[in-house]
Amino acid sequence: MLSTKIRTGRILCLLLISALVSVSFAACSGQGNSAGGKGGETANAGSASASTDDYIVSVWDEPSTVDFQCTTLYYNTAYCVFDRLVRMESGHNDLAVIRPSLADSWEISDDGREYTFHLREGVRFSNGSELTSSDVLYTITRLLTHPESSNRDIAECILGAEELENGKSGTASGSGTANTGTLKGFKIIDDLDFTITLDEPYEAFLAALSMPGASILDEETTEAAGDDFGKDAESTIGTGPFILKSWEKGKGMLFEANPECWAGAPASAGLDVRFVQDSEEVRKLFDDGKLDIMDLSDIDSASEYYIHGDIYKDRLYSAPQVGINYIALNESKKPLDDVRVRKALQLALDRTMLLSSIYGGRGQVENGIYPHGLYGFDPDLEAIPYDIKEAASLLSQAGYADGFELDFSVRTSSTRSEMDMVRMIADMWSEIGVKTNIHVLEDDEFMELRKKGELACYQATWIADYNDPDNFVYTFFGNKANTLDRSLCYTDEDVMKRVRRARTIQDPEKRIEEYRELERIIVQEDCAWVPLLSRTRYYVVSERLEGFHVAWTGRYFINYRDMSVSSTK
Amino acid sequence: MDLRSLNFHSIRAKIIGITITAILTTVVAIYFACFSTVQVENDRRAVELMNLITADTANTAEKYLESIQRSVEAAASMAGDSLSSVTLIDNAAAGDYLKPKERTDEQNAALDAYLEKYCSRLQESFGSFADRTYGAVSYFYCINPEISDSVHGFYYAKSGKAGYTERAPIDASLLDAGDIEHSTWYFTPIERGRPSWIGPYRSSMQTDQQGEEIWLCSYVVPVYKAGMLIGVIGLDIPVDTLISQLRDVHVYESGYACLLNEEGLVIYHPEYETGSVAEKYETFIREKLLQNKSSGDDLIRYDDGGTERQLSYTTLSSGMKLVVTAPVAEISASWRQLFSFIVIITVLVLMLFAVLTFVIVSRIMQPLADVTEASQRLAAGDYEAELSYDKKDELGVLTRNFSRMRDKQKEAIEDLNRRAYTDALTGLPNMRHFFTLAENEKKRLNAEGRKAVMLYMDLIGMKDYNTQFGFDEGDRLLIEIANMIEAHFGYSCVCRYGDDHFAAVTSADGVAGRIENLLDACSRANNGNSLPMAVGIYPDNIEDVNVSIACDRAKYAADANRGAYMSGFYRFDASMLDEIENTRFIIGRLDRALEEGWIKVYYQPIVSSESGRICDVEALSRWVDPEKGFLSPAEFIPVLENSRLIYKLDLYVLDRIIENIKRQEAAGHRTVPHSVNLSRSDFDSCDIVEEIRRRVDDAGVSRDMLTIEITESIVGSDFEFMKEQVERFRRLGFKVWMDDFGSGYSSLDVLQDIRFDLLKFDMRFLRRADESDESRVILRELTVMAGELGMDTLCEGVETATQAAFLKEIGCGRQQGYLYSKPVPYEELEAKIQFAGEMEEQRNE
Repeated sequence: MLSTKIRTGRILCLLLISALVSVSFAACSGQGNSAGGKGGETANAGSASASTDDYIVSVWDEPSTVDFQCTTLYYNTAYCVFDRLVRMESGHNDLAVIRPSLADSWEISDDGREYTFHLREGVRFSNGSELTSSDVLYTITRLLTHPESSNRDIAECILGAEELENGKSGTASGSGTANTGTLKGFKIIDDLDFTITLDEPYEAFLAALSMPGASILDEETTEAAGDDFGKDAESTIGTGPFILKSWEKGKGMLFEANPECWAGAPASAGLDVRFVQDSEEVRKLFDDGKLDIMDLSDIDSASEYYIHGDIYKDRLYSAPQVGINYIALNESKKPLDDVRVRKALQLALDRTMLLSSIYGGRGQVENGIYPHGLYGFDPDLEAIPYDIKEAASLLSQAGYADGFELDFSVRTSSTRSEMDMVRMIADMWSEIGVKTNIHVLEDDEFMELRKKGELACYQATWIADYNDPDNFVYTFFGNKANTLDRSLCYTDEDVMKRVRRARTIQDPEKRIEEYRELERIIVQEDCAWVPLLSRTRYYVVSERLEGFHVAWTGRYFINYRDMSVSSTK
Repeated sequence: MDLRSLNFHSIRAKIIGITITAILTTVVAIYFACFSTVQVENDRRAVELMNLITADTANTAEKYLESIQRSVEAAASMAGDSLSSVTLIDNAAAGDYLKPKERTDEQNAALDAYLEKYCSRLQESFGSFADRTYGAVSYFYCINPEISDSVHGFYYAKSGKAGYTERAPIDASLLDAGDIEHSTWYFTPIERGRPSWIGPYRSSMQTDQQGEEIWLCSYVVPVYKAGMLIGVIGLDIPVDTLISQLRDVHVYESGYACLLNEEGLVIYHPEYETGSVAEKYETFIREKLLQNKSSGDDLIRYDDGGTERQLSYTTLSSGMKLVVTAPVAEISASWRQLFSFIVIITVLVLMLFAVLTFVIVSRIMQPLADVTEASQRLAAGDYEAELSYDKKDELGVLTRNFSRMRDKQKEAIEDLNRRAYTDALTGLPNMRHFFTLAENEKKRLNAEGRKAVMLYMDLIGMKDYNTQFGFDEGDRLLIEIANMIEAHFGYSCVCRYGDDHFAAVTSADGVAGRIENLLDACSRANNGNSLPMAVGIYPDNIEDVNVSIACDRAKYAADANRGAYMSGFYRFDASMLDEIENTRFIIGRLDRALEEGWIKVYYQPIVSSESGRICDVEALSRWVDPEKGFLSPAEFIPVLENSRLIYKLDLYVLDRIIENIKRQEAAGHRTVPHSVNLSRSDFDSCDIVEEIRRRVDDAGVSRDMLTIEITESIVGSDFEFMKEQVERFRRLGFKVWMDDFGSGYSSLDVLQDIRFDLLKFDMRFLRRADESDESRVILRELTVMAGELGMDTLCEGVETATQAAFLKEIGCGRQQGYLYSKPVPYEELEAKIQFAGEMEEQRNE
């Protein structure tokens, strides 16, 4: 009896103990789970913050290439990843000045043809290789010889450029081969010093060298990338404040701060660039605090919501854009070959109305080629009047009393404002009987046709690359190739010659005087182009963004290196 | 419950204690582990749940708000797109920043006409949007008064189920920007410059059936054209509709969802009125909700007037804050309940365990308790506790072994007792036990009014009996005698005192008769091969002393007749008491007497028969006690010999002799050898031969100046030993005299084996020589014999000249006695010895 009881007691004990043990195991495993869960979360959070939490978030258009020798668009990347020999900075009286960049200093010969540059010591590309004179030679050679190059004009002034371009002085292939012997005007003195000799003096040469197209490339990387250069992140190697880490097509780019940058590491950890097309989406991103910089040009009429009222007044930045909205008229297309027709089209436009109704009056009506804010802007230039009667009369004189049909090409990437403007222009021209056919073209097609000189008429904006009238007038009227490229097909060889010669005028006043004269001839006499307006650009930034400022051109992306996001907000 | 269970020192209590402590510790540890784990987990889940509810509610709300936003934005977009900026600019309604000018009447008219048409077109479209928007009660377009003085836009409101009806449009120029409640819908979007949710606010345009203005929320979009504010366009939703779903949100028991606008004003809160500031939350809201964080998905807790609440919130795209909150107590209720269950179960299990453990351990420990009890009883002398547990476990072994140990111990103790209290041979009580028994018996007798006597019985000649018949026979005799003694006095009144001694206590009445009977019986013991017995009697009427003293005194009485080989009994009497007293006095006082010099050494001269000059002196001690006066050597020497203290006296005398000799020699006096008497016990007390040699040599005294006197009886007592000692003395150069020759039973054999330097005839020879010729013959012959054996002779006790002459005649070399001098201090003899004077014969008068 006794032993039985003991046995049952023991069994009871065992049961109780096992129950307790299982409870404790359950407790332990519970804890384990929760700990694991937390750990996981933390890990995720950690990796997330390690990637892009402290990156500046921007929205850009996706570049088709970041080979800036071959494009005149998408300059953001150029300013983030690359440097040029010199750079342009806002100086006194809103005049931009040339500052040293990769070139520490330079001397210009008295005749204005010989530029001796001294490269900054110890500059390295983000792949670690050192910047030398030969990289510069390579860059310029490639700029001149690359079949896709759209920025040859920067270097065409160099002695021997033409021969090199035309393949006379060597066996330069399509992708460009660095051959010191081939560019006559380029002499390497040593690793850091070299001399560039120009055909003739070119006063805006330094300014031109500050353009994205003149970005200095790493010979080795660029050469190795071959035709892929500019298409992926890996080969996009520069000396700039950021390193392009990844480029997810259609989604975005990640730029990481370059801590080894010769000019010092940028203020931020990096850039998180998103390719967002839809203006509503951009706005939502910004409203949700997921976007640090919003260009109000990107959101069309919704931009009013940020300009008015007081919510954003501390975070709203505005600056006149040193750029001009213009209408290109192709002189090779009838009836645009008739200057009276072109004049009529100029006069039939109420550009004040355009500025007021499309941009709420935020900007300037332009009457020439050089917009407000550009070095050489002519405040005394005679205004083009809005005169329908005169316009109609001119048309009649030209034999188009009943008007004519005009093909007006528009890129698909145009903003709503631009579209509105085109419609409004069409409305205005309809007053004098011009029937405007608006053709919306894919960007690539548009560019292709334009470069071939096939577009009859289109509206576009040219924003200053460097602060010199040369950047405008030479681009459009510097030579046949340039006018063709812009589908202007300007015909006055004499004017074009004068444009080229103006570059060489060493006396600044005389040079400006000549530019102003050329501007007057082209716009008012030849009516080769229809100046419209220059805009004021608006940007709103997130509360966490610090160091935002707009560059002299009215654009901001040159200044990414100074911006950062504060982690507290 | 067994009271023993309350003993906290018991193993049972310890086991129970340890078990409960272990369980309690484990449970508490597990409890806290679970507690923290579950708490963390619960908090996490609560946050998740609340976030889920928040997200879900927000999602629903967001969708609804978005549907309204879409309607209004579509209308606003239309309002912008369908407005011709050209018309505005043409009519100087816009673009006047470029060319400020007054509007002409024509322009006003044209503009108004245009605007009327524009509004009418827009109203139609907006109306269809509003129709499709759930909950909308009114839609409006309020034209900026700067654009037109007369065209104000439109205002459509629902009245009942009839759908929207046109109302008078609001002239914004009449609105008072200070009347926030009623004009916020117009001014706020303009101030902000962007679409906004307005509200809660009240509009005079919207009233309920009682005519009370109802609370509205509106989505209002400013319409810009050509950079100019054209007006605001919006849709009104009653707050009641907006929050209808929020009312149904229940979080835990009493948790709820509430909606606050961007500024923190209450849109819906179960405890606050719409439009009010939720004071209770105010600080909290300012701190948490209105900060830049758009949502709080962490664990957020706050004190809500004494109750802790948990909160989750999110900011809707409208800027409204959706807050979901629930009391922490409710969130924690389930697991708190779980834990109270666990606590209750734990307590129950512990109690059950305690009881079970108690029962089980009690069962297991019962045998141990039995053994423990048995051991306690054992300690108390009780060997009888029953131990029945007989299992094969450890306790069974323990119990059996304890049992066995106890039984053995019992036997051993009984045996020990027997040994302790009884005599192994005869079975009679032993002496110690007897003292207890006798005391009891004496008391018993005294109590009966009778006197007790102590008997001491001593078989005479037992040693010889054993020698003669062997120990077995001797033992048999002892046993028989013992039985007889027991038979006569009773077991509890007798004892074997030791060896052949017995004691008994008995009534004084008729004691003599009983002793005679006993003696008679004893004489017939062992088939007559018995021994006589001396019986000492101590009656307690002499002096009532305790039994051990009484026994001693009885022994004394029995010993009084020592030497007599016959039975008899002897009463202790007063003289014996004196003897005892005397003996005690002498023994007790000896040391002091020696120290104080009460014992003095006297010298009796020994005279050469030839020359009549002193040739030796015998040292003798004289004790003159300050209390008792002169003590005779015959009195104190036997006592000291019996008590074996004589060596102290003898060595004392020796030292005085040596001093004396030294002094004489130092003084240059002639002196003679000094003789000293040794007792038998001197030889036992120390190596007296060596002791004397050392003292003599140390003192630088010539050994031949000291003569050793040893009585014939001493030599006879242990012949071989004494022979050796005598030879040692002689070898060392001491002269050794045989004293009292002829006084005892000495045999002439002694002289044959031991060489003495001198025979000293006992004085009885001389006394008898006075009376009989035989004695004279013997004396003469002994002298001759001694002479022939090479020994000198000395006769003591010479008292008369006749005797002196006789001794001279027979050739006895030396004489000693009162004739010449009694023992005197050495000073009295000094001169005679120094100058070798003849001793004058002193006449006994």
